[in-house]
Order: sequence, then C-alpha cells, then structure tokens
Amino acid sequence: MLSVESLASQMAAAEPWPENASLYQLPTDDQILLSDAASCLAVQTFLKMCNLPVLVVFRSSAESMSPSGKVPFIHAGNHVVSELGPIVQFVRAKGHSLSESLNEQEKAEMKAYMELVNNSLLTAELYILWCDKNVSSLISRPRYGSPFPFPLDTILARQKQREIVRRMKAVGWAEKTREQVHDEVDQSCRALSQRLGNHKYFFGSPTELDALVFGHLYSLLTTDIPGYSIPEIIRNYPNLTNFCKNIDTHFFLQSNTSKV
Amino acid sequence: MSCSEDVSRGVPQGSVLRPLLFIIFINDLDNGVKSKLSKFADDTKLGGKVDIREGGDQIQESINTCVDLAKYWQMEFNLSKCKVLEMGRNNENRDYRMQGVVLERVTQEKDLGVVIDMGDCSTDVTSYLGPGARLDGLEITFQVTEMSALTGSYNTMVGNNEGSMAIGGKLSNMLGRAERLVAQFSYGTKETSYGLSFFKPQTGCFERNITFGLFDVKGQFPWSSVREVDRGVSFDFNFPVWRTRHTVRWEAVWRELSCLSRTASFPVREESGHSLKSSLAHTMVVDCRDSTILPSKGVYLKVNQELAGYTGGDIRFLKEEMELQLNRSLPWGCVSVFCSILFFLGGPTTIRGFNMYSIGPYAESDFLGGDAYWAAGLHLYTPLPFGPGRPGFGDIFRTHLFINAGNLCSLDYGEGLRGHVSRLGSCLRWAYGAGVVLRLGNIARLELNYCFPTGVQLGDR
Repeated sequence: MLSVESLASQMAAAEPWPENASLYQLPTDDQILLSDAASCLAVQTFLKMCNLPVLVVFRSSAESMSPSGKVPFIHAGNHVVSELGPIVQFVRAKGHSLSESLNEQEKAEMKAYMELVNNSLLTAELYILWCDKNVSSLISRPRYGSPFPFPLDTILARQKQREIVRRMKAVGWAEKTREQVHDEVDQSCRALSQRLGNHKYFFGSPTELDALVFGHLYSLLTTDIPGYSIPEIIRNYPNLTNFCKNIDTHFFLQSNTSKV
Repeated sequence: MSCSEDVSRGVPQGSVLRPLLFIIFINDLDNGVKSKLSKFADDTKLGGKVDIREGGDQIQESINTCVDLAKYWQMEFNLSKCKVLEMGRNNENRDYRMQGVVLERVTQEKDLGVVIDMGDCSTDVTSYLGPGARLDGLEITFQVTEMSALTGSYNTMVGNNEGSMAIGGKLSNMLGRAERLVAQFSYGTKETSYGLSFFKPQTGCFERNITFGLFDVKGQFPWSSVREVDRGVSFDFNFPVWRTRHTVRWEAVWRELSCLSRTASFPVREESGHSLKSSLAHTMVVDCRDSTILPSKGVYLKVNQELAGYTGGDIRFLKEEMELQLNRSLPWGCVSVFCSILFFLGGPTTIRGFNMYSIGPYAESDFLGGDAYWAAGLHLYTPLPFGPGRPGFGDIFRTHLFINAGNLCSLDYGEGLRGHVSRLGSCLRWAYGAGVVLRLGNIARLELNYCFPTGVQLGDR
C-alpha cells in the first residue's frame, strides 16, 4: 500500500496543478455545520495563499464521496485528496509549499500549534454541535439530515451524533460543562495570541497554520450559537480579530463565504 | 415364434399383449349395468345408493350382469379379490352373491393405493361417522403427518468475488394456516447479510398470498469499485389470474454506496452516499415450459414494471423489463430463442462471453452500467453425441450451441424514441460458442462454455 501511495505522489509531482481542480464541500446555506465550515474555509484559504485556482463545488453528498469520510476534498486530475494535512502534502508534491522556508524548529512549532487548533478549537466545535442537547436538536441534527428524505434524515443524523459522542468520550470531552469548554477556547486563544504577537502572520509569511487558524476563528466569530459566547471570548484578543480581518480582506475580496 | 399356451383366467403377466387383451376384454363390462361402475386400469368398482331395499337389489342385478359377461368371454372373477364395502349408517347390510358365493364384507379396503377405512361399524357406528355425516354422505377426515415445525439449513457458496456461509431457519405453519417465517444469515469472507420474511397464503387458495420481508444485504462489486449496502422492507402480494401469475410489490430500500478503494473513478465516487428508494412494482409471468432448468418446449413471458419515487424517498424512476423465451423440440434436440429488454445488465444468464457487468459505459476502468439494454439469443441443446451413459446418467448432460447478441447504453432523454432505438442498435455486441450444460437436480444448471466474443466495443473486457 505504501509503495502505491508513494508512486501516486511521484506521479502527482510529475503533473502540474490541473486547471480544472475542484474543491468539494457541503452546501453552505442549509447543510454545512460549524466544524465542517471551518475545515472547508481553512483549505480554501490555504489554496488561495498558494495561489492555486480551484473551483468550489457544493455537493450534499460530499461527505460520502470523500475517501476519508470528511469534507472538504479536492479532485485534481486523477487524484482525490481530503482534509487539510494530506492536501498540504499533495500540493507540496506539485511543487507548491508555504512552509518550505521555515527552519526545523519553526516547522515543529507550526505543527504543534496546528495540533493545538485541531485538539481544542475543532474539538470544542464538535462538542458544541453534537454533545450539547439543545444545539444538536435545534441546529446540528436538522441541518445534517436536511438533504435526506424521511426517515433517513433522523437515522443518519443520530448515527453521526453517536459517532462524534463516542469520539468525545475517548478524548475526555463528553462530560465537560459549558464553562469548561469556554475555558478551553480561551486558553487556546491566549496561546495563539501570545505566539502571534503584533505580527501579520505567525511565521512572517502565510503558512498552513495561518490558513487553519483563520478557518476556525473566522467561522467561530461569524457564528451565533445559542447559549455560548465564543465570539466574545475571541474578541478579548484584538490581535486575533485583526489577524482574521487582515486575511479576509487580503484573500477574500468579498467576505461572504461562510456562515454557521 | 413363441409356443402357444392355454390361459383360463387373466392374461399372461409381462406379455406384450397383456394391455391390449385386457382392454378388449374389459371394454364392454358396463353393458347393461344399471349401477355406477368405475373402471380404472384393473380396478373396477361397482356401487349404488342403498337407502331402500330396491337399491341393494339393483346392485345384485348389476353384479349378475357382469358375471354373465365374464362367462360369455369364458372368464371368471377372482372371488377372493372381490370385496363389499358398505358406507353410511342407514345401510341394510345385506349379503351380495357372485357366482353363488357370498362376498366377503370388509370395513377397510385399499383402492388405487388409498386405504378406505369405514371403521368398526358394528360396535359404534355413530361415533365413527362424525357429526357431519348425513344419510347419503360421509364426513371424511384426512390424517396427514405434518412437517417438523422448525427446520434449519446450512450451505456454503463460492461466488465471483467471495465465499460465504449461509445459515437459515424456517418455521413452517407457524400459526396453523400454512404461514411461514424464514430467517437467513449469511456470513461471508467480506460481508455479512441478514434476511427475514413472513409468508401467509389465503386459506383455500395457496397461490394468493402475501409476503413481508426485512433485509440487510451487503455486497462488493470490484468491476465497478463499489460497495453496496441495502437495508429495506418489502411487501409482496401474489395472485393468479387465469393462466398468469401476478405480483404487486412495494419496497423501501435504504441504499448506501461507497467506493471500494481510493482509486475508484470519479463518476463512481460521485454516486456514493445514502439514498432511499420507495417503489411499486408489478410483475406478470406466464410460464408454459415443461421444465424451468432445461426446457424443451413451451413459452415463458415475464413483464415487469417498477415505479419509484411517488410513495416517498428521493429516487425517481420508471423501469420496464420484458423477457420472452420460446422453446421447441426438434428431432435431434431442442431449440430455445430468448429476447429480453431491461436495465443494468451483465452476468452469466444474459450475454455470455463478457465479464460480469463489464460491457457498456465505463470510466477509468470502472464499469458504470447503462440506462437501457436489450439482449437476444438462439440456443440449441442436444443430447451428448453418441449418447454415452444413456439412459440415466447421460440424461442430465446436454451439448449447447449458442449465439447471443445485445447492447447496453446510456440514454440521452432529448433524443426521443427513434434516437434510443438507433443508439441501441448502433454498436452491437455479440458472441457465439459451444459448451456443455449439466442439470443439477431440478434446481440448477452448470454450464461450461467456450465463447468467441465477436462484436466488441471499446472498453469491453
């Protein structure tokens, strides 16, 4: 299997970035949920930072089409690659990299901060969406099941919820309270804010970490979730909100890409 | 030449003349007999209603007529084999005489293999005859041994792609009205499937029945890089109309398609996901063939239509399917012509010589299937040349010569009917070949064919 994948990446390197590459994600108006919106925005930002053209395709079945079962994924030439990490590797194989100029220590630091974002911000998003009874019954389950006919909508949404709750239990988040979740978000924001300082980007020039942090912070800032005050927590760190504003104006001229 | 021999009674056993002689002698036995006389092979019964004295007299008179006729033909009745069986409670129990001898009276006699038992009339007549018995009628009780209520089955299968083991359980006659509950569990090397069905026939009309089913079937199709999971419920209503059988079926299936590998082609990937089909289907079958496995004569017609989407679910389609088979016997074998028009094709019972599902539209080495399909074939089945092992073992073998043709394509709905027909006829696939067919019991056939695929289109394997 390994040899097949290395062969595939060699083949990928041989071909330039295809013009008709597409990014598949869930429809934003009535279906996508906060965590998926954040991941999709991160990948979209990363590709814009690399200056790689991509056509965004909205598909309600994008999750089952994805090889890893997660959105977003890109379809470039004969290759289908899902999620930010593998996409960054795939793009590097094509000769585009944002973190090439970093030294080893900075690379390690970048990876650590990316882990921090995935382990705290992404997990907090999933907790709010699926472990909070109020949010999951009012927002997450109806939106998740919206493309399916009755009774599949309920069955699939419940299935998804069971799966996420099991994962939350495994990482010890299932029993957390709202205040503890607020605390977690606050701690990671403080860590990010301290690392960022008053710079424009985390490591001088845009990297995949900037794309990931922007994806999550922007989505959290623009989403109003009943019972939670995440946007207020983030606004306590003005350098982070400025960071989001800066990337938004720099890479997205019309900032209407993401809601919920 | 055989030697001549005198026969005084009956006809010589085993002689070729026996049936003919018997027919000649027995033919006019009922001349002048007033009672009811029923002849079946060498069993003859004479009967009548004996509610008044004259009834018995008439029977005795008829016996005398028969005896006279036998005398005329210089024959005798074998008196030890002639019995009197009396039925009903108002019987006068008189003696009947034949050739001067009083015939033995019995309460039980075997007729054409069936034991007719009148019970011990002398002791307790009324209790035996039952509450439904009338003056001129009897209440007959059939005593049968029922199959065991719970049966199990076990079998293993090796298919195109995987091997599986199936365990089944059957509760026959569950509620006492021929209801059947069947459960099946199949454990395969790759997938596990379940099924449960409940069958209930209408009392007094077994052909009119309903079946309710639940299933969870998983399968892998490497030629399309697809894994399919179907979970569903179905409801069938079967009923006969004249010589046709009809089935109306409602089915709700939750289908989950996913890619088997990361290298699956993108059109297959695009089809991945969950869908719900709710459909109504009607099937009509006319089957006048003499055998379903290796028919030698008769016609088979099956027309099936399925309408999905109007009873719920997110899949909408109309599917039409027709299958026609004509079989004829010829002096040296039998010929079979078939023609069918249906939807997603392939597989060993349609176009031989091409891989399973491997003709038609494809993308990056994965076969996609099409919207329309037709296939026709001409088959010639003959007994094995020089007839080794016949009769007996050789009978289950047939040599098989065939020509098959067919096509499958995707339809463009802007084209109209004429466009569809020309498209289906345009790039024909056909194959011919020969082989041996082995009939396994009356349930399956095993074919070994050598094929020459002739009309092949780009991409077929």
